[in-house]
Amino acid sequence: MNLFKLVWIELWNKKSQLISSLMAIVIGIGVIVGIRTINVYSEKAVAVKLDNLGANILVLPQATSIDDYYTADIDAPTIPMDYVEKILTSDIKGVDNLSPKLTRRVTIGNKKFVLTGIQPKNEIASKPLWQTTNFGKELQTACAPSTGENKSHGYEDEKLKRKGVDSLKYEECLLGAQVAKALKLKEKDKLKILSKDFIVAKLLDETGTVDDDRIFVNLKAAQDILGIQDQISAIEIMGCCNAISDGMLSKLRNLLPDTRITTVGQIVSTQIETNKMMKKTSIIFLIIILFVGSISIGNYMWANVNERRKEIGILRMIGTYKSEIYKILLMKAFILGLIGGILGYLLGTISAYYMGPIFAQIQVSAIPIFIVWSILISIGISILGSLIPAYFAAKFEPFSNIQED
Amino acid sequence: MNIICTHNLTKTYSHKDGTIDAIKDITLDVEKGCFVTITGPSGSGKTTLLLTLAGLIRPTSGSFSFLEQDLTKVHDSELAKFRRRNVGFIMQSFALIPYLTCIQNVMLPLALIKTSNQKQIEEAKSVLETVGLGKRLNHLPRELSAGQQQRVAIARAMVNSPSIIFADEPTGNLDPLLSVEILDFLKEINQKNNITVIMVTHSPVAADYGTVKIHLDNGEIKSIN
Ligand SMILES: Nc1ncnc2c1ncn2[C@@H]1O[C@H](COP(=O)(O)OP(=O)(O)OP(=O)(O)O)[C@@H](O)[C@H]1O
Ligand SMILES: [Mg+2]
Repeated sequence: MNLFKLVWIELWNKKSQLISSLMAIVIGIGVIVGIRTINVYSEKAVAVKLDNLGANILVLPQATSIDDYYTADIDAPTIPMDYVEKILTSDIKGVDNLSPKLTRRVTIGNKKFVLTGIQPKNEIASKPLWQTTNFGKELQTACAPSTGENKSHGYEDEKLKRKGVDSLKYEECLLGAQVAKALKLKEKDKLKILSKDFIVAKLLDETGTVDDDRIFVNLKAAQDILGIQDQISAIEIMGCCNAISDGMLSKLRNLLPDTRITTVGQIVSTQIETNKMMKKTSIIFLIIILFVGSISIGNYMWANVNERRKEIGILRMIGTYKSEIYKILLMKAFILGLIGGILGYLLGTISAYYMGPIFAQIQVSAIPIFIVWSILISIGISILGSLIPAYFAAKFEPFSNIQED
Repeated sequence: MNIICTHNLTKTYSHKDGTIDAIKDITLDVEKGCFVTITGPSGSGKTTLLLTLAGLIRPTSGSFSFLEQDLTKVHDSELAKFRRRNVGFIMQSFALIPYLTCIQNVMLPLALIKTSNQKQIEEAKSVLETVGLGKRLNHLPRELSAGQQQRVAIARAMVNSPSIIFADEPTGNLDPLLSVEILDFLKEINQKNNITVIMVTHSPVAADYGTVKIHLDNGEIKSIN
């Protein structure tokens, strides 16, 4: 027998009371863990999407939509190439990696492909595209100073790393995986596009993105064979998310008023919004649970302590110190917190697992580190709520026959 | 040798209808090994005197000491230490912890003085066997009869080998036959183990067990013999 065992036996004897007192904490922690779990996976999903897209901002001609840009019609409008220079010489931060592109649909042997003229070195390629081929060197975006939050999971503070195309000669071309398959081409083969012969410099690995259906050539060569001098279809910008939220878009819009500047994919931006909202919600819940949880535990402790007045008196009678009574009750609070934290974590994780696909269209799985936070927060709440009851309990008079009811 | 000495021990309760002198100017020496009985009408201050001597109630004035150590003004924790080391309690209502088994209840005082678990079990078992409950170790108090519960309480009072046992109407809830059994038991502890017993009682039969008989009335000692 020791004090800890005493506490344990008492708790075990009043399981139903224990469970009801834990309800608030378990639900509260569960909600926080649930939201945060979905949040983290949702942020990961955004990061993955951004990775696939390679760039996250597009500067397009006024009349073009993103879809137009991808379908790349023959007579799609263009913007002057000078705009690249304009952006580079401006003081807008976080836009170091610009890549001007000229995109047109071309027909080769009855099959339709997208011809994309790119500028080597400045070309921003998506990570999956270049990683495996070891082609080109790494580029980094210069991010605006971070706001200091969310270092571990999100895209926000992570420097976006991409590999750019180092060199692409005037007569060279790169083929997307689908193109190579459709045209049965391999490296060093010749390919005639419109009026000009190109040499296949590289076959690109399959990425599952639109890039698979593309033929990449040097921007100048594309402008020449398409007869569109000094014009481009778009400027892709790999903007840092912090910079974007710092109003980079409106700065760009002011700089280039006759263009359409958009982030890539409405989904991504709505998802970013949702993530922000979830983060806020979980903070609000944390505050609520701090209050409600502490009060609920405190209330239980208070009732429990009063109900146990006689027992505490007996313990005092046989010589238990006040400090030991205090310790007994805090130990109990600790155990309650521990159980609450674990159950809350399980509840949150399981709900996130089922809710994630429904509410955020993402698959989630457990985030083990959250159990540490759940337990710490839960124990904190529980002890906080128990301090006052424990303080009074330690002051109870030792047992005497007089005090009996 | 005196185990307990008091000088002008007084406990006054203040109440909104005035003050009550529960005990007044009690001066008393209790020799080690005595069996002291305290009798007196209801409200005469018996319990108050007992609890004050046991360090459970602080006297309003006067002083008391245990084995020459003045306990009148010591810190609360000092009193608790005195109780856990030297004192056993037997109460009319048994004062057992309801969710602990017999043996766990008896182990409790040993746990407070940091005895190893093994030793706690051994000693608690042996004391419970002494009081005839060797076969009821893992019963909860509510599964026992009143007499058996009081014997668990006696076992708990004895287990830390106290030098003094305070008993407040230990037979008050028991029938005459069981009472005699418990009283004989206390007598035995008193004589065999040389544990001083101070017992408050209403019953003349119980009072007869005393080697020192104190009669209280209205908070004052009417007679000692
Ligand atoms: N906590 C208290 N507050 C106020 N008055 C008290 C308190 N405890 C005891 N008293 C009063 O002190 C007096 C002595 O009480 P005490 O319990 O010592 O009597 P007793 O001799 O043990 O009586 P009984 O035989 O009925 O147990 C009584 O008048 C009682 O009302
Ligand atoms: Mg009494």
